[in-house]
Amino acid sequence: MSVICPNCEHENLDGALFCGQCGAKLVSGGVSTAAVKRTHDIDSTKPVSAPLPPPPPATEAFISLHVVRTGQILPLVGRNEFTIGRVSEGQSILPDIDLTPYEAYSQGVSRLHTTIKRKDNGEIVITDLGSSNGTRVNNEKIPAHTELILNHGDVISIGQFKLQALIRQD
Amino acid sequence: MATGYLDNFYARLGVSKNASPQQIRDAYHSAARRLHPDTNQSDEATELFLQVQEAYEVLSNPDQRKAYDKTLPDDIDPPADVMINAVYSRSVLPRIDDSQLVYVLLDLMSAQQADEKNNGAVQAPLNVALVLDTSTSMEGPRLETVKATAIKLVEQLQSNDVLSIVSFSDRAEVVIPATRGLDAKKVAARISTLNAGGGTEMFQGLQAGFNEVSHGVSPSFINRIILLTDGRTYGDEQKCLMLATRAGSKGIKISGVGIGSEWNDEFLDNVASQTGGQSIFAQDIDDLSEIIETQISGAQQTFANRVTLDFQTPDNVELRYAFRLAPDAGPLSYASPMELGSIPLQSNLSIIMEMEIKSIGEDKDLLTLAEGQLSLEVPTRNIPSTSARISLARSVEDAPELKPPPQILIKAMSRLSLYRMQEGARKDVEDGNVDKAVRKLHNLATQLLGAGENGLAQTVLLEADYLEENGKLRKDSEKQIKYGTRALLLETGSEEKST
Repeated sequence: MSVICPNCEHENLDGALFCGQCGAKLVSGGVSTAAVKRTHDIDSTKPVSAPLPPPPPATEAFISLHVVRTGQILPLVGRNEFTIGRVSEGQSILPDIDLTPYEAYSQGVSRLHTTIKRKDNGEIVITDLGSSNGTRVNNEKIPAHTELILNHGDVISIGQFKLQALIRQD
Repeated sequence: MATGYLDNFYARLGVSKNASPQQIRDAYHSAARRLHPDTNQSDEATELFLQVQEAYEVLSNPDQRKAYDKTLPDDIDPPADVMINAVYSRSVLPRIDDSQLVYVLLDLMSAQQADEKNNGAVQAPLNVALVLDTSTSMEGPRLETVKATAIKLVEQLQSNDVLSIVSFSDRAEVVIPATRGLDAKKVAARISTLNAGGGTEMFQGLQAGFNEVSHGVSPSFINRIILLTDGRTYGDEQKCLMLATRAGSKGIKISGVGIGSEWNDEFLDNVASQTGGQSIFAQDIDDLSEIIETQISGAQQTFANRVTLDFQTPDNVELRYAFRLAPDAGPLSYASPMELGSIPLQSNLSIIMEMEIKSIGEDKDLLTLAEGQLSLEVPTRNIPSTSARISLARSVEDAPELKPPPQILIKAMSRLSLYRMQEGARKDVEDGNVDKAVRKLHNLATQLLGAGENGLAQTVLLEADYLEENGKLRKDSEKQIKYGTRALLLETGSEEKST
């Protein structure tokens, strides 16, 4: 009866409190330690010969999110697509970026609210996932399930929670 | 203070399980005096007061006490003067065939803590040997700073304290033999003659320091060896470790301060953990004076020394990891007897253990995780050594409803897991698994960002890049990351104390 990490799928012994591979918390209750979570990390426990997902193109973040209220900067590293939302109990699909530590619930953040994705052509797009309170870019509400190109400095409102997009200029 | 989790009534009062009714009454009156809401208005005191009252109501009634004793599964019997508190990640163990992990957070504190806060703490005298590396690499600003630090240390000492200073390179020299009430000027004159030159033969230095401390070693002193080095020792590691074990068994704590990037932190950790001491990273030579000052003031604030856990685990239980969280952070050696370190006068000695239970037999309703003796020395009381039986056990049920682990444990483990990821990454590199190590560092950086540690996260990310390109870690960065994540542990410890 081992515990599979919801974040990186690493197999931990029953009773483990934190994932030995990625450090994600495996038990409910207590303080949230991770603001950024990944759901599709490469599983290091699999042998190298097994088919792996495509390797991350760059270790540097293609985009960072600036939390306007706290000044904190969250670089998005390792993949090309990130889901933003909040973790609540009994949820099977977890967002990559959990805004729970920022009082996400009272700010109107849905569980799976928005995704940010880098496309093959290098464009960075944002998509609202049909959230209850919607996503705004520079105060303009964007239609659900529709891709919109993000530019450096754009302010994204997820519910009432504001993030500024800092895009690396290659 | 970990006061919310005193689940043992005897521990709440700071008395032994076989305390007399009079002892229980006295302990209650003493606790009530300092915790009564009229005199102490902190929320914590009020909560403690209620807990103490609850404990006294039960223990002062012979029938209720007897009934309560029956509910205690040979739990912890604290030695007089010390309160022990254990918090488990699982209150009940599920009966499963597979392996499971249980975490135990053990807190030890002086039962007279609060009293001494009011009356002015009684300090035991120190018996310290300062062991200084004077190998060639120390030449220049390093040696000059070390000299200045040693002289400053003399000023920090009390008149009863004993100090000796030893220098070593290929061989050791006793610069100042163990002396009480040293004069700073004389020390300065002797120290100024030190020159750098030669190799780093640590055993020579440690042995000379050990001899000096041994002259004055006594349970009524706080005995310490503080080693300052900037290099690696070769060939005599085993001898150093054996000496450290001897020092540990005599109650001499060894702390190692590493200067710069070339010293061997894992080795110094091993030496220190044999004695309940720690290794410290002086990344910048200018940090040295503060580090030594903290070491000395920490030693002066010692309530109990040589806290040793002599334990056994049953065949199906394995101690997989042990770490001291407070008063200073450092790994513990898992082998019994385990030297835990010292209990400070006014805060806790806190250790965390990870135990793996292989499988629980069908017939057991109670599983002993570990049992043995906990012994310690209280220098100011002139008690040679007190000890008590300790038994860590949990009841077993078929399919219990598992409650979330106590907050305090989750908090401690959240930080310890960061430290262990760093350890894991280093191990991966050693084993040649560079890709795995890079991923672990990325994960560590992500967690650090989540915890708001942006500076350290940046260091980790840069090191992950370096590792990816060069297949190895840099000696200075790996130490920065190790001691950086270790420092986070200490912060949680002190936060706990102030809230």
